[in-house]
Amino acid sequence: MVRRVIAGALVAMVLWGCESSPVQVASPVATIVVHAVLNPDVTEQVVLVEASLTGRVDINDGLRFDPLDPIRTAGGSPIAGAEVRLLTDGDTVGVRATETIVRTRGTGRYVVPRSALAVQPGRRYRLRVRTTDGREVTGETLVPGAPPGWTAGAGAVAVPVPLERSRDTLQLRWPAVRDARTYAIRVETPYGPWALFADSTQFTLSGGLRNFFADGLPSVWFPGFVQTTTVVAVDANFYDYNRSGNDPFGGTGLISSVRGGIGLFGSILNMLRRDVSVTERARFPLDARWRGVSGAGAAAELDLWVDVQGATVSSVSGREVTPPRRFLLGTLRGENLRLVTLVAGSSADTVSVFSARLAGDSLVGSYDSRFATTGARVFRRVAR
Amino acid sequence: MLFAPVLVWSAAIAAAQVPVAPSDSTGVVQGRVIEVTTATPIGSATLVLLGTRLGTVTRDDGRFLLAGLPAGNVRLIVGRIGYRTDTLAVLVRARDTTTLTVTLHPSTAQLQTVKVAAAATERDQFRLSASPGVVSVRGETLKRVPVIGEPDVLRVVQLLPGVVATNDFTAGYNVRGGESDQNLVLLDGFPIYNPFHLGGLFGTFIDETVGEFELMPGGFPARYGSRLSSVLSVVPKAEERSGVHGAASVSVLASTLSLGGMVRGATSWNVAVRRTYADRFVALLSERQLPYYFTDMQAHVRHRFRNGGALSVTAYGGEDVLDASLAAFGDSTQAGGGDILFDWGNTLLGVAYTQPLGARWGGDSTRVMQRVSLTGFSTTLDLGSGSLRFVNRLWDARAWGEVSRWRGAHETLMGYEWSGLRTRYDVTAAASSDPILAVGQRPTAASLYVDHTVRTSRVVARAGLRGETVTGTGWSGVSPRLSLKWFAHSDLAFTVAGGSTTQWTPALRNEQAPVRIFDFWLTADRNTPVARAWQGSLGGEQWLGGTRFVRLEGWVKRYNDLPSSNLFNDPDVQGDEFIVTTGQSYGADLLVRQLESERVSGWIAYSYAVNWRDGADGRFAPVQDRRHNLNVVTSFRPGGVWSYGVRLGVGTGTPFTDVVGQIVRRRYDPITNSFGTGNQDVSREPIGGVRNGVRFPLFQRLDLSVTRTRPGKRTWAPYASIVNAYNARNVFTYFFDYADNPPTRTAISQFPFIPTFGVSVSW
Repeated sequence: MVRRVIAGALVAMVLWGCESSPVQVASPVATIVVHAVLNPDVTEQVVLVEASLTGRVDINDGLRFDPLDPIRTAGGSPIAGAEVRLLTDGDTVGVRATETIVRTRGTGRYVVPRSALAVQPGRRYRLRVRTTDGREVTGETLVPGAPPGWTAGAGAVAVPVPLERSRDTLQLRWPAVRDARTYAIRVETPYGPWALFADSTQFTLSGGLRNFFADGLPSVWFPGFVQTTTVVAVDANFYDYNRSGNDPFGGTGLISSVRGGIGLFGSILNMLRRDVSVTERARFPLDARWRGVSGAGAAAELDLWVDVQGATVSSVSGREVTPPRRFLLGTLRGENLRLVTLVAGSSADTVSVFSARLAGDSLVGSYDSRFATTGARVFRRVAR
Repeated sequence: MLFAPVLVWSAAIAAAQVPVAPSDSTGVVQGRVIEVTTATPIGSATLVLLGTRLGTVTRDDGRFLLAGLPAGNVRLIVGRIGYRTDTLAVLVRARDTTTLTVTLHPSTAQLQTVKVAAAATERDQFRLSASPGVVSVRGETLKRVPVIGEPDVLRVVQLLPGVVATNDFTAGYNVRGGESDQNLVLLDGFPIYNPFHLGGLFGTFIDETVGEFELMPGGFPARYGSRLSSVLSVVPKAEERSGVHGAASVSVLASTLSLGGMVRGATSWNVAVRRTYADRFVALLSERQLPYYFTDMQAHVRHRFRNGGALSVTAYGGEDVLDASLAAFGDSTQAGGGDILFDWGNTLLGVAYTQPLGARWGGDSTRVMQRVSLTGFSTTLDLGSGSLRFVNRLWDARAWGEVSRWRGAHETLMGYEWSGLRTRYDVTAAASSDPILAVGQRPTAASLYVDHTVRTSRVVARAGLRGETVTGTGWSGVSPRLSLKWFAHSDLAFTVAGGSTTQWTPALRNEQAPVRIFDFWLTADRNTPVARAWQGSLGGEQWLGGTRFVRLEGWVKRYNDLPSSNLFNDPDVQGDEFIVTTGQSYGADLLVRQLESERVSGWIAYSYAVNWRDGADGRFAPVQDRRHNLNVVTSFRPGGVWSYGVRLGVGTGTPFTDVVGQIVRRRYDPITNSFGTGNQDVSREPIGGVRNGVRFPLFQRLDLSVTRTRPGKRTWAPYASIVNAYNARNVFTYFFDYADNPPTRTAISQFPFIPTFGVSVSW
């Protein structure tokens, strides 16, 4: 976080100082970068193998994220055709992972299905990656042991809980885990996850929490959203990699857990999962249920709240009460509402924008999507 | 046992000195120096036998004693800051003592005052002190250097020989290859830990309160401890005029008001406040907010007792406050943003008492000094109303006492220093009932020291020893300090000095980062060793007339057990904050100085330095390794009301770590069993090459200033200043983009062309 502050100060200085035109520099030799986290709760283990960025490969940051092609669609340069093996302790051959192919192209995503290798809590595993040019990257991890009563899959099932943001706190408890370096608590938010490591086996999340990992310190909990909260036990590799990072000036500081390259070969054990349905008491005229017609022309009801009141602009959140029950984010400037419908709870993935004016018990506006603008849409306040 | 080397050294010096016992052809002059109208004793006045280096300085009760004067009619020059210099004809009787009272007239012409003070300080330093490389700069000189916003002690320190500023955006400084946390900063003898504002852009000292400052880049006496590389001693201005006088100034940065006066000829007082006003200005003109300001408050009161004793109280409080609600910025992109609180500041309260004891304990004169102080530094960074909160607190309760005794050519100084340090470093999150990090240290450091100085017609020699111990470290150490100045003739002297320094309060700071917001201070303990440096210097100083000199010094420094921030430290593990490095530096400093008595004054400072460190990642040059560094600072007063200032800085580039690629940081999502979900920007991190293996291009900067001063009952002095007059593109840092094909590097420059202006009025 101090790094963020320094980066902020640096930005201020950049504004004061002058930026010169970019000049071309030489391309360095690429390093192999590996990301793999073993999880006994999942149906397949995933290993990502890619090259460090050297300027020799065109990177397209405009691609929509594809979980089956997670390197290329998230700013990376995949290494295809590698031999990736997961080995249990004492095994010399291991199980070879299969590369995911998208449109006949290798993705650098290698998977080992549970049927080939069921990762067990408390056991040690090794990773071996050989690229086609003969370079090798290896790593080793000790999966956190299972506490008494733990069964595979149990920690992956969500338990729904309500959270009235101004009143409630979310209390989490879990059993201690042998061989766990620490525990990671994570809350999914539309601006990216909020996460923290904790040594203890209990944690309390307040409703007023802010996401210090996202720009502008947005709320962690958004009224109207159902947000998944997880606790996992992690090994030392996972902890070290995620708590460290390369200094923006010196380029050192990241704690890598693989030899022959850079990256993470770690493991976790799911401890608990909660789907938190967030609400807030009504404080502003907008905080209500609104009934009207959606952009698609169907009857629709929206639950809206002012998330945070600002001096001139307030942030707004909510959800569609009627199917397809998507989540909403927006801003309220005076009486002008701008409401974005999200595809999957992510602020980066929107489907339409509803621009409306708040007039008493009515919201009058229109929907804009990528393809069309609707005619006037009117929503009226109803009892929530 | 502890002081045995000192005694041996002193005996050797004494054997070489000219005898000072009264002879058939010499006599003694003693007496008092007082103010002509109030008869107030004048301390620190200098008396020099015309045409010689024989002289002395009055004690606080105005008394003096000059022995070994040749019999017959002699002329004594008497002077002090704020008074007209006088020349007295005195008849010295052989084997007898002449007693006289010298009256001095307060100076009315400001330039005359300047002339006396400037000549006295530097020349006295040359004649009387064995310390090498010391540079004194008066408060008046600060105003003549082109400024960024307003005059700044630390910005002027950066222009002195042996000092490197790694870039324009920091008022921090590195002395003779040392790290920036190795400088002891004293305000009236009391320590200040982070004398910076606005992320290190400005120093905390209000220029109107600065009487003078002195930088000792090495070879400092045994009375100074706790830092490895330098001592910066800032002396507050003491108002000697009766009534209430003051000064007010407005710059583009801040407004300052200072008041001072003398009560009944015995109590001098000064108070000053400074505050930036950009936040208020923005609030007046728009609905937008600039949620940042800083303040400084400083007070200094000094009372002289009739018995010659003096009691002074110094207080300082400075604070930077960044208190923002991002939701209140009125920008839709920040809608919903949380609160940020980021503040830091220094506090200081110090009391000093000095008492002359006359000719007790067998000497000509004895003086005791006792200081007690409480220095604090605190910082808080709060993100999201407690969602994540960093707090660092440091308190240093210090007692420092010493006895000085003069006997003929001998001066012996013995003292102690006791420091009770309290540091806390806490990281908490509202989400967690347990602190994320809680580190507290409460060590106590105790020191005993002795300095013995012998002054003869050809030699000034000083030998000192400082014994120190720090609780919680298991460490005790002895630091010898030796210095010998030999006069080839009255205007040329050569100095050799050497010794050891120690430091047990390292700052947790990433030296690779080019910005210095402030330092997180920790203390040595079982895991972090006490750092030690050995240094030596050899140089010469030639005076060319009474106001001009040239000084050249070569120096070498070796560091043992130097703590360096561990970038891989684990917040769960206490004691891994630092890794130990060693290192060495050597170089040479050249200073050509014209004191403030001519139409043209200023200095040319050139420094050559080579530095390296040996750490876990091998040998590397530290970021302050600027090989060649030239600063030309001049002030031109052609007469009349206008004066002009010029500063030219040229230096070879400092080292940095080249970026040789980037990696995409991927975070595992346990819900989807994938790395990334697409709802975050791609996070790329640099891959560093050889540590500090390449260098920035040449640094160059020309600053200009002009001031119009019309003396009167109220003296108005508007000024304008231009920083980087020809807009040189000095590189601050590079940003690399290896996602581009081909890869690119973008340079961010340091200060561009910046015009600033302001006005001050004094009465």
